[in-house]
Amino acid sequence: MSMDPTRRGLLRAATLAGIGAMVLPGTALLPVVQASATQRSPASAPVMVKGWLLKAGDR
Amino acid sequence: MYIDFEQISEDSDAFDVCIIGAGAAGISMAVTLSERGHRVLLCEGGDADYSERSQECYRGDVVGDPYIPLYGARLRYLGGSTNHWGGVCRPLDGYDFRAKAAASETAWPIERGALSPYYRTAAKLLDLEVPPADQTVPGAGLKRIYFSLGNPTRLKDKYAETLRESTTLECCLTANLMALETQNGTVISATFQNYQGDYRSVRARYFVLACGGIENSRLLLWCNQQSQRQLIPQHATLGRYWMEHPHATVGKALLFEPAALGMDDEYNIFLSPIADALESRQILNCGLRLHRMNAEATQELIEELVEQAPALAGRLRVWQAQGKVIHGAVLRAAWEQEPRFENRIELSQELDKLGVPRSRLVWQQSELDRRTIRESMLLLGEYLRDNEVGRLQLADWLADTPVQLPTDGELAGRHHMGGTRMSVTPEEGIVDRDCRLFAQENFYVAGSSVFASAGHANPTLTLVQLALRLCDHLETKLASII
Repeated sequence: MSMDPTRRGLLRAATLAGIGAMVLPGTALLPVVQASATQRSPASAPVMVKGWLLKAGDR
Repeated sequence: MYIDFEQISEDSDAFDVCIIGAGAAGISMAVTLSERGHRVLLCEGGDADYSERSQECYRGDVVGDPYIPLYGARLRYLGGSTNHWGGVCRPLDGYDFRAKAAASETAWPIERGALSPYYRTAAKLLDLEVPPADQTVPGAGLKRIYFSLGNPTRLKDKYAETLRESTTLECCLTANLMALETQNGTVISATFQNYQGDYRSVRARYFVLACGGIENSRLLLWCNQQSQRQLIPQHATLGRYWMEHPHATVGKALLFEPAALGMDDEYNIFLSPIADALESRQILNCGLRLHRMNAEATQELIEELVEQAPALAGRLRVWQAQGKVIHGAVLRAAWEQEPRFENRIELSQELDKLGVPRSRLVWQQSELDRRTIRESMLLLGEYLRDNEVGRLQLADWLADTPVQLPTDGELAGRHHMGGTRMSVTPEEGIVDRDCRLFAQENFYVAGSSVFASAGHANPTLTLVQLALRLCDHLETKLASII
């Protein structure tokens, strides 16, 4: 059965949406990955205790 | 040869150069110029050895931050403060001669390259070995630096025979500068007084004032006053921009990887921020000294750290069980003080026994001075922590902000700098790039009082380099007369 334009359009939109659904989370992750490269992990966050320059993980 | 005070002559043809003050700069210049055949008169206000009558002229007041009593911070007899210095030397860094981002007043009118030709001769004169080249510590923003450490040379002993036997060098003790006569931009004569109240005047082609980083200012303030400001008409900066090297114990460190800083081999290592770190942190220069602790003190420091860092304790215990070498170190520091107009030598109302007003030192460390030492320590502490080289503990007074400087202990290095600073114009300083008083064609100043900025290194080597450079300059001037 041939598709009517409306169904073809909806399928294209769904396909694009599907690709978007696959791409967006990935692209949304990229900034987080980049951010983690410049941010310290909680354990390595600097703290000063009684003059000692420590990592949070030292405690 | 030594001459008595009564033998001082006003004969204008007797001397090429009259040098006033026989400390590191004065003796260096006197022996250098006389060895080259120039006729030199070296006048020293003190005696051959320590005497109360001379030393009491160094009494003065201190206003502002706690400081070492002026009476005990320097010596006033033949040899000057070389009679008690520690023999520790290092040249200033190249960037000490340029305007630092944190304080533009730190700029000299000369580059370090102007002094480089005199480095080896100055080191030889002071019996110093040339130390190894600085080495960058990768990833630290710091470099490992080296000092010449040796038996401190007492210049009056080293050159005793020259002072006694030279036919071109006459040395007169107990000759205290009282006045300078100037006429049409030339110093005509210098007048001296001994302890018996006798006066003698000296004429020479050139005069050099070399009495130290406090006394140069005091004597020029007095002589300028006596001359109705004909000597130094533009005198706003006379005595000003005075600087010291604050010294203190600044913390401790536990080094898990002592080899990263060279402390596996050495008991004492020295570090300093690199130029980029000075700029990025907006600080002046600093020398950090790490002194290795013994095993007992190291273990105590480990226990202190374990108390604050229980999660780190497990690793420390494992390392110790494995026999890993961990060193504790005490940290001391000397840092560059900001040149500030407000820090100054001025004349007191009280007179010494010769009738000259005593010195008053007005001195305070600035917010930049405090930031310099704190940020330098943070720079090291961050490197140790982030690279798992160790952990650093700031001294109590540095851990809290605002920084409250110690009021006892070392306080400073007895390094007296500035007061007759070198500059491009007479509005900004007292001597030009040749160390000549701007308004007098034949009067020069030698010593650390001409420093435009302090760096962190002990000043003796640099001031002797400057003195030897001045010798070359005077030799050129004398040659043009002949």
